[in-house]
Amino acid sequence: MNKLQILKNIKSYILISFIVSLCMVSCVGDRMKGSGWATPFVEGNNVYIGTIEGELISIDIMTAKENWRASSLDSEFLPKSIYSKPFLFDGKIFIGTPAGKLLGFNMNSGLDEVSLQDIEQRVLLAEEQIGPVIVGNILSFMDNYIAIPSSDGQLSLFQYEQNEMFEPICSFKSNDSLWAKPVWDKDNQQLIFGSMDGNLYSINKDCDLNWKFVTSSSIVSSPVLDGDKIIFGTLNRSFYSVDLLNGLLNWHFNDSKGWFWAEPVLDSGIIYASNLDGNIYAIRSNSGQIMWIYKTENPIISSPVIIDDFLIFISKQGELQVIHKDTKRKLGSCNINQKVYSSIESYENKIFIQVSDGSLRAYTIKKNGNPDELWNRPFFTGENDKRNNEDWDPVC
Amino acid sequence: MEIFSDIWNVIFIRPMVNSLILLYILLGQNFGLSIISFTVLIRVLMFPLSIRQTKQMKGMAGMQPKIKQIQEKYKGNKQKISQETMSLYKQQGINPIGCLGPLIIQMPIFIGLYQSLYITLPSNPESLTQLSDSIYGFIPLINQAVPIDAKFLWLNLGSIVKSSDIYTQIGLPILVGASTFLMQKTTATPAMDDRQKSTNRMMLWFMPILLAWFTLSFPSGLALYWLISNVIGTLIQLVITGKIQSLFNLNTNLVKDDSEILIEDNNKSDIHEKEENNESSRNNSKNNRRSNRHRSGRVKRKQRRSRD
Repeated sequence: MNKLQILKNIKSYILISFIVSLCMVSCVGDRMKGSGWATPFVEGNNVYIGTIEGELISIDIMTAKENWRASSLDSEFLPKSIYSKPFLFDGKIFIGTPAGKLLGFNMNSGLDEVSLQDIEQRVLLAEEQIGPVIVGNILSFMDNYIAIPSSDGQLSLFQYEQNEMFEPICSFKSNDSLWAKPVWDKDNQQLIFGSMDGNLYSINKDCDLNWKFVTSSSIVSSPVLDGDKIIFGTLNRSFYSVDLLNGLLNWHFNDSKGWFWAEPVLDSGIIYASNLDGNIYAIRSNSGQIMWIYKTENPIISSPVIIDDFLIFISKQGELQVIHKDTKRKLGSCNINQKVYSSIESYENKIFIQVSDGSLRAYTIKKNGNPDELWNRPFFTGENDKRNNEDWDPVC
Repeated sequence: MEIFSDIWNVIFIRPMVNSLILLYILLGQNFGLSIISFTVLIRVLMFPLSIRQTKQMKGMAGMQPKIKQIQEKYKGNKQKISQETMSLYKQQGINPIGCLGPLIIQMPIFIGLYQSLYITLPSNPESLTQLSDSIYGFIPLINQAVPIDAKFLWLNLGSIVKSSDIYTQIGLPILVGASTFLMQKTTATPAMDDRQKSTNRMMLWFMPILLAWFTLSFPSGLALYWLISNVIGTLIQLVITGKIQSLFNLNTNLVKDDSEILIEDNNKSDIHEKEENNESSRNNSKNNRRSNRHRSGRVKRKQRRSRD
């Protein structure tokens, strides 16, 4: 091949590779796929999980056997992954869907026994077929009320009626998405929630604004009640304690290097907050003083949990760690080696984690703090997922 | 593989994401303007390359008659044609693939921008957590700007074109296709033979249609980048080639056309030859005049002597 021919070929190769890369980047299917965001929910002997495929599955805690699965979808759309944690209400399991709907299922019955239509209850958050995505967890309060945060910035309140239907009461519109779960302050009869518009809002049950606390950054972390204060983290690497009555600042902490994304845990006057800088911060709730910082290598998106004296958390890269909540001494760990966005659900000495490979993992936290596999293999949530029949080596 | 991904992130993704967010903050929290100004910035940075590319292309165009001569001279001997053509390129300082420079540079920018847009305008919470890894912690303003408002005119810059409203679904691919066509038309490489001519003609239509089709799968923000990039690219090309100046009767030309240089060179050499010829003829005539003068002087002197 002569030199000119080679140069002509190089030209064609470059053009072809440009077109191929265009093809590659235009394939966005995977990017729209979910990541197993929803936190599992435990009730009785079953764990309920909203899946990447948009289904709600009931699984037996001890045997890891599927009790039933129900589809939350009635139309083809993307994304279909469920973000919101299932919750129990009037003996039914409810779940908020990415299509802006609230669906209810009989918690004991599988689809084989009761038809979906009979057990289904719907609340449309929009007139369109596809409503705003429900990312934040739904709150049930005052026995017969629910508050649904949605990505259009609206907090919608519904009341449960005698005819077993939710009737809309009112809604409050913030200026950006609501991804955080609201909290109900029973003493002051107010709902408090953070918005991506950077404000923490307090409204009464008629959706009238009581007060708002302005931060300079988005709030994704669900706030936590602490006596007469409310505490929450923001994306501008700050943590706030605000007075519940008037929304005035008690203290402010901004010594972290990353975002406070997950809901913090409060235990005996200490706030345990995970951060995307890879650290766990233990902060005194009355003063905002740092008690200790536990450093890890990878960002932590999920909320930690406390079982006895153990603080348990998992990094985005899938490293599960157990440390002593007072001394921050590492007691045990194991590496799932898969990305984890979901928060941990705990029940007695067991924890449940949804993983981005489409699986639900369950571990027992032993008395010495070491995590141990509860099941002999993960539960893969995809219908007919062949991995459920394969041999599995324990990671813990 | 992870090391390549880290390098890619450090060199392309993080600077792009942070530049886009900084521009977003500076331009009144308008991400559409941020993308447009980012595109202008990229185009300005690539301006010297564009000039070079145009020079190379013009140079190649200017060499066509000589290449044809070579092809006719060595008909049937492909190796000799190639050798001679290459040596001609070398003589004129032209690299036949030099015009692909901007395209090669634009490839990683385009892919990087695609990823950056996905990170900067998250369509789901997972992508937003990814943004946290990409932003520079030492610029506190950036943390405060998150999440980015993706609305620009009627567009949602973060959403995929094919899942947008009908106007976007139809309008954006047409605009991208049309601007790519214009861009192709102004930057078309000069054809050396009939085969290349037909390839050029095919590419002139193929690329715009292909890109219009791909646009459907892009986020609107990326389509906006492509559209603005094409428009600026076409304008730059018109400025470089002097076509825009001729429209406004301006006599400036940023790039001295290589073909013009060649012609000028030829002209110069012709003029030089002519000048040399003229000079020699002038010298000759001077000499002639001188010899004539001498001759007439001698004749006159002879005539005077004979009269005396």
